[in-house]
Amino acid sequence: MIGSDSGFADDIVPDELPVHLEPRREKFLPWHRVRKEFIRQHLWNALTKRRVSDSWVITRETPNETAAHTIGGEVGASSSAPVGLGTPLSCLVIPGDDLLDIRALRRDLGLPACHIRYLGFNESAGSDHVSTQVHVANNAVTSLVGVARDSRVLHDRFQSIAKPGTQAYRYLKEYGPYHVVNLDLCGSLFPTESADTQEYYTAIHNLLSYQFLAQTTKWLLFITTQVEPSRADIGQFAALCQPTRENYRRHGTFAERLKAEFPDDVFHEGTATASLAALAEEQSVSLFGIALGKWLMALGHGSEPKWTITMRHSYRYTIRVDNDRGVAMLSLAFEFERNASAPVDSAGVSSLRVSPKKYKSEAECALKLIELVGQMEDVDHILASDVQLRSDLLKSKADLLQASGYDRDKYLKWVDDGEIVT
Amino acid sequence: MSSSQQSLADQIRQSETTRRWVETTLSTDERVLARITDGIYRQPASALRELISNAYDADATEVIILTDAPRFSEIAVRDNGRGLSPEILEHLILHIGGSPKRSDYGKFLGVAAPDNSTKSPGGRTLIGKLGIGLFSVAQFTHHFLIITKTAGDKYRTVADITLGLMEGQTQRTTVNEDGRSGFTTGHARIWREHAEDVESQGTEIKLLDLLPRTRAELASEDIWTRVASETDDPQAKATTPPRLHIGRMTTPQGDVLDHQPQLPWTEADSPDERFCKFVGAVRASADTHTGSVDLETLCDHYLQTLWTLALAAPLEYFQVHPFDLRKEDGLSFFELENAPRGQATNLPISGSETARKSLKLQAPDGTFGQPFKVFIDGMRLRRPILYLGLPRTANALQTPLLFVGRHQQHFEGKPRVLSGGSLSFEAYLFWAPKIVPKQHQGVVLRVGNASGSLFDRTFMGYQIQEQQRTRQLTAEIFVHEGLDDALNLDRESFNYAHPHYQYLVKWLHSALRQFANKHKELGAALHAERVAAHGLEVRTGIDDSVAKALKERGVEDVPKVVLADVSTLDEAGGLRSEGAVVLRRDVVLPPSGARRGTRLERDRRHTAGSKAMALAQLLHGWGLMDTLTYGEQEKLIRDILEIMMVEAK
Ligand SMILES: Nc1ncnc2c1ncn2[C@@H]1O[C@H](COP(=O)(O)OP(=O)(O)OP(=O)(O)O)[C@@H](O)[C@H]1O
Ligand SMILES: [Mg+2]
Repeated sequence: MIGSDSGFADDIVPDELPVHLEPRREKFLPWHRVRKEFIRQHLWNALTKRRVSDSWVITRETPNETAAHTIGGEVGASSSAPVGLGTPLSCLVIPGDDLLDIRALRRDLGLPACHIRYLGFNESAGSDHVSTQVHVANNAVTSLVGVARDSRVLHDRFQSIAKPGTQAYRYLKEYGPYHVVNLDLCGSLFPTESADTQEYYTAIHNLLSYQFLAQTTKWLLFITTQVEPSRADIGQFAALCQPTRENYRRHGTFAERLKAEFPDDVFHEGTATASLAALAEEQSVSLFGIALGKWLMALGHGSEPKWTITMRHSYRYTIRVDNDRGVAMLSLAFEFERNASAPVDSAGVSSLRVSPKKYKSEAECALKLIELVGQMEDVDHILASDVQLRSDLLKSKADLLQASGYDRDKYLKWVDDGEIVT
Repeated sequence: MSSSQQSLADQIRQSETTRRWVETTLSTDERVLARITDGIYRQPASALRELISNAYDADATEVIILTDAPRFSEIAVRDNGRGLSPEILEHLILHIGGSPKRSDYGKFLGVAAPDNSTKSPGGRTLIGKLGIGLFSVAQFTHHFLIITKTAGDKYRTVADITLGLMEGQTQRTTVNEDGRSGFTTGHARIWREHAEDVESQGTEIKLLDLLPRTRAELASEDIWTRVASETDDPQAKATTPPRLHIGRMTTPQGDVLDHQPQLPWTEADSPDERFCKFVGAVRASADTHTGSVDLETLCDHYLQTLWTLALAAPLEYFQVHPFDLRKEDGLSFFELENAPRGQATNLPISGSETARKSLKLQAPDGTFGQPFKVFIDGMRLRRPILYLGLPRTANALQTPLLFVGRHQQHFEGKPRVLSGGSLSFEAYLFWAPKIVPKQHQGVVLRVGNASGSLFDRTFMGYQIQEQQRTRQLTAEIFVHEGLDDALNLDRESFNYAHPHYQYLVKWLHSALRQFANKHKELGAALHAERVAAHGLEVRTGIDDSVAKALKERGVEDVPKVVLADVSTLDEAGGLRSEGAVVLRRDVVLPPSGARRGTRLERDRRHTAGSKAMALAQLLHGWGLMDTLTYGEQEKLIRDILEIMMVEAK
């Protein structure tokens, strides 16, 4: 094997010379658009903040250090303790190269509400240009008061957690369980012929499996995904709709509501595939929202103990892809609550009166889901009709970018010029 | 790029507005230092140790190390210390091998205290002095980032550094701006980034593109290769993975583990709990396995690295600083005498008093003042030396002994250039029947409470035949003043010719002699007590010859051996935990054809029993049984007995 490239040399000499970073931050990308700021403030951070103010003890004092469970923060308690002062808000995120989501979350939560500890997934965090930027951004963000210093961004795809044997899955356990999971996917959860969505679903399934066993308090799941019905993989789509069809079959009111919006055939085993293909684009988008929600609910219902999953008011917008074709984006929010209840002594032998905790039934949640998918607001419309809101958002977005080292004037100009990504 | 007249620091500051990086070469005036940045000297643990030391010198209270184990794709070492100003960074880059610490310039830069250049501004004794420690990262990678910030600065500084020559470059020798020739060791791109966190401070060293050989070393590839190759060969006795390990990636590039970690802690454990469980597992293996506890077989390289770092860094003790041990902890205390023919004396301390208090000892538990905490992959490190709850053995003497000493030598009347100035230190020798793990047998020299070297098992070349005794000793010498100049470049070895080192050798050997005498004395007293207690027992010749033989070997207390009529190893366990060597009668005594119960057979078994016990005492006394399992020990004795019986026929 003389002269072969593979072999002994592989382990001795690295393949490439290292590359340095371009320090300028002048290139603007889709997530720098103003509407993303709307999603952050009005969906993700608003719900997270409510979650925090419901359960965290808010105090002016810095939590004391002796209890430190979280490194790098001043805070901590064992993860099994009830949420309280000192428990970090643990987040699983796909935060992008500048970690703007984390910066914005910290800003919107306000201090000294609670301490953020995050695990991020970013495929680009290797050793090239972008990655240096990620390293520097991570250093900056974790240096902020209110962020745990051992928070980190992995150079892994989120989908890697699909397999329990991966390094990514080890990190999942190391940083979990989570109060907030924000899957701002670059790919799509909508089954299309080109994308391998199964890996995403497996990853989410594995994530829920972990969370259901490890988490005890309420938690939030945000999913942002493209929906492109024109390229649907109908077979896969039909499979995703299975829990919805099942619910349709078994629950009259649910079926009524669906019938009001979709042709009946969609929900019958034999005709589902053909009729899904015939749906109007808008119908497909809504049905996908319902199907995804229902799929999650079925997982929650099928686990032990059960988890109640409620959809929260969500949003949508449109992105332009090649040839200015519009593609729908959905930004969905779900709240997960574990069904746990103290034992009731039906014999009446004990004098303790326990009223069993009532959780919303799966049917109730399913009806709410249809309602909320129908009520999803279009962020583009909101911004177009509310000039004040848009300019407020623009300002806070510009502040955020400036704080992350971007050129504010260039940014404002970019927005003025129509937010065109080159 | 800006004019070459401008200082590098000014250029770096200018990047705030130009938004362009500054490009520069790393250089040193000396060829030998240029080689250091090639990483020829150091081991992975050493590089991490240097980075921890730098954080300590920068008055950090917390260091967080994230290694990405077992993948080791990149490593981050992050502290909350003072950070590097552009001026410090300039110095670092243009003067490799010229540390600003311990100099007036260091005071000016703010890396040393304004009134004392051997201390940090926060009052710690500086570890750094050469200006090369950081470049020990060359062991790991030729590409790393320094991301750093000083408090009050509106910017953080980023230096992207590559070591070695750049593509197209063939010459190492360069001519500096001032006309001196220098040696290029690498390149840096440096820029400043706007910071929102004006008040924060700290430094992160991010090691990227880890070298394959370093990754392989950290990932224990040698061990795993052995495990794999022997499972290929059905004949071979299988090498099992270490009992504790961090797991293994299927391929270095992949993201899947083919061996899941075997760790005594879980993700849910706090940093303190993790370390506690780690040390606990090492300690516990002394109970489940006979012989000495060897980190090298118990743990993979990664866990060994954690242990090494925990020993080296200036950290608090896991249980207690030995100077803070109390009478009620169940030890005997002695004070060492500082004279060539000195003798250790009992240290009269009572109840809750400590050696620290009664001898006014200074060596801090951790640091003076501000704490210094080191976390690695979610585990908080502490100095893992155990003084309490160590295992019992067959030794007659079971009470641990603590010998404490302190000394100051000014070498009065000798020229300072020859003596190296004053030497002042405190030290202890801790004896216990069994030191766990075996890597703690020996002596460690700590300069400024840190240490680069591991325990020296030879006790700085102690000649006398005291093997058995010294294997039961852990010693540390805390040097408060002096010795620093004797430390070699690698900070892992000493210049033996240095007068301070020579002096410490003499002092230590005297201390060892004092210890040995005291230990013999205690052993002999115990033996006499025992003889008195069993005065009626007819002493056989065998007992005497065992005692005599062991005494020649330097072993005073003859191990206690019990021949027990039990059938399982478990049943013997109870007796064993009381410190006796237990042999199962039916297992060690070779059967004979003769009928049981006859007088002849009874005598034969009685003699054989005495011989078995004597053999066990001898072999244990020599320390030869330590590496064998209980079953193997019994088998060995039986085999020897069998041969002896053959001759008797
Ligand atoms: N974590 C850090 N925080 C602040 N300054 C640092 C840090 N690491 C390095 N430095 C600065 O960089 C310089 C070079 O570090 P380096 O370890 O190479 O040398 P040193 O510590 O001065 O001496 P030695 O070679 O003996 O360790 C230090 O003198 C210090 O000024
Ligand atoms: Mg140093």
